[in-house]
Amino acid sequence: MEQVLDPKYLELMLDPPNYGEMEEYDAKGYGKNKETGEMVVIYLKIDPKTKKVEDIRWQTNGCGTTLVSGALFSQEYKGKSLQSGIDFTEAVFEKIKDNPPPDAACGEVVARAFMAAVKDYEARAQGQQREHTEYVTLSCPTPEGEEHA
Amino acid sequence: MLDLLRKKHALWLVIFFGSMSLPQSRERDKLLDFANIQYRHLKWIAKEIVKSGQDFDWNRDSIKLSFSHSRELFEALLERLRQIGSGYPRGALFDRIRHDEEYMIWSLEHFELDVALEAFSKKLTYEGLDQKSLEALVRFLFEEIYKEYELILTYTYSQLHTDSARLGLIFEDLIYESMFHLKSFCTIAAKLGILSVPRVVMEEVYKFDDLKKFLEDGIAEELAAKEQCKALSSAIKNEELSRFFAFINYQEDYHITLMQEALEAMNDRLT
Repeated sequence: MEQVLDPKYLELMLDPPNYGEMEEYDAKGYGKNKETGEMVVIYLKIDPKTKKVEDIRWQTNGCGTTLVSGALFSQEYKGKSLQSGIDFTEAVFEKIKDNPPPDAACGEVVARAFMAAVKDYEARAQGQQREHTEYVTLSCPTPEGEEHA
Repeated sequence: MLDLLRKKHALWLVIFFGSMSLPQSRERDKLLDFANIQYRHLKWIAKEIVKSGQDFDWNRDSIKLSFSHSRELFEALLERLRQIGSGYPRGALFDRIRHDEEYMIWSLEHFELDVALEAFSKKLTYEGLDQKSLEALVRFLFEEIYKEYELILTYTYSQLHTDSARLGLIFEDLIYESMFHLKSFCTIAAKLGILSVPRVVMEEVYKFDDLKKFLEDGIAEELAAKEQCKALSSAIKNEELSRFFAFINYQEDYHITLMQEALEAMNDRLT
């Protein structure tokens, strides 16, 4: 996290964009890291016709790197198609699966939350209502014996 | 009442972080006292909500403070106090709150401190610190200011939801400790120009299903914070800061003891 003194980076930490709860959402997903207790929740408002992410809100109890990852992700995918977010997160998982860099878990927990929100969106389309959680597995393996939701 | 609680929550934070932005002065001391009184108001209102059989949360709007002069801060605080004062219902608790705030308003109107503020300037300089120490310090302060705020809210929420006097006293001790750490870290953040109200704490953090798991995770976090303090203490080439972080490191030991006592208290209740 050497760029912590960079003014843009600092601003993202001190005033993260799109941060907060969304009362009326089309999808909500949790990303969790069982080893550190870090958690990210992402809320999406999705245009039913175009499948564009009209609005995105998110919250975390995580560290500065998680916060910056969430801020950048929300800025990038607000207004873009749901599919582009899915493609991005899948590319992230592919990139970190064999050789996760330091701090990768912080990015992965954000990506996991987004994927959980996508699953929630799909489940709601089929009339199912339940909480969706995805766990960090690639950059911070889940302890043995723990089941993933 | 929930809406009022959220406004009081914001008021407590604005007064607290406002006080932290001031240089050592009578006004700073007084504002810090007012912030502590506001925290007690907040807790009493939350207690009333719980007594009525309802629940509360720590949601609020995000708060961005940016004052370049003490006068701007005092005016903003006066405005907030005047606004909230018009919305209190009648009753012993709110009469007390109203009288407290009347005095706060009178005091603020008579504050004389007239200085430029650097607490929000993002100047990022600290006497005697090299670049590496500065980066480590900024990262630590950013994460720990949020964490202490999160702990204060979590322990307060837990304290208001436990019927165990023993657990309640342990939470009270932990709240005092976190208040002191928050104040200490904010004082350093203000010197660096990066003072900022932390982000909203998500409900899932303090409305947990498993207090035991929360305490166990908390002990692991305290151990991590200890290591960070130790690392900072040895890395930072500034004697005052180095000794301060060593002192905080030793305080974390007793936090762990308090949390272990809370776990024992829980286990005793279960057996």
